[in-house]
Amino acid sequence: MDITYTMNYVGAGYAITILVLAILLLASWRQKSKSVQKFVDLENTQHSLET
Amino acid sequence: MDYRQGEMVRMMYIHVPASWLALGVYTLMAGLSAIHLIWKNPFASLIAKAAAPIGLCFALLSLVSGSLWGKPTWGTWWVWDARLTTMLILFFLYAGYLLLINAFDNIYHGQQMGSILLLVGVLNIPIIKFSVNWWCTLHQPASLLKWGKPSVHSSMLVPLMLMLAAFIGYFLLVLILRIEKEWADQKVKALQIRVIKGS
Repeated sequence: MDITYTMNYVGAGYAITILVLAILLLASWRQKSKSVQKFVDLENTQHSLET
Repeated sequence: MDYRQGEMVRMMYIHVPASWLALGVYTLMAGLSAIHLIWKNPFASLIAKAAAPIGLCFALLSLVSGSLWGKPTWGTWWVWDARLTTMLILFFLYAGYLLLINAFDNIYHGQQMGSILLLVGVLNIPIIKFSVNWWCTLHQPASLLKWGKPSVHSSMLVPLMLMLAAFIGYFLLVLILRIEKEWADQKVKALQIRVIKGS
């Protein structure tokens, strides 16, 4: 089998894998940071309303 | 036969761990759903919800890498054979679970319905595993998870196990991030309810 031909498929497979896993990791990190920040903000608001 | 694949065999190092993790994550989620339904443990459902997008990505990667492997070796991107079709069903089960748990106004109803779907869908896991033995498929039979010695040479088995360890490490890392996110979301909801009740 022609090496250039096969390596195109292998390269595409690895590139897609890295891309999908990187997007999932970054999205999870961003969503987590936003959720934690939202909780901290809400708690601060409640504290200031109580005092 | 395998030596004729040449460089194409390198696809195995992403296709096999992604497929194993897709099956493993679903089984874990089904176990957590059983815990949620039997012992009414909300944390089990929270972990299952956090794990679902990761499992979905592994199922997607398994299908895409399998398709990219299939074209040069089988001469086709896709065939409706038992292994490929059941794997596609697993992908839809993940997607269906994610849609279902977010489809209800009451999150507890969503969690319950999602848990039931996971438990029904777990029947698909042994079908995926044994599909290559039960039916005559284009997909090759098991090389590692079978009785007797693995039919993969150690020069390929060691890197495969390393890739599996890397995939498991990645899964645990993202799972922890997603659990923290879900936990913070639940605390926000609880705080909002407290504020509404207090006002």
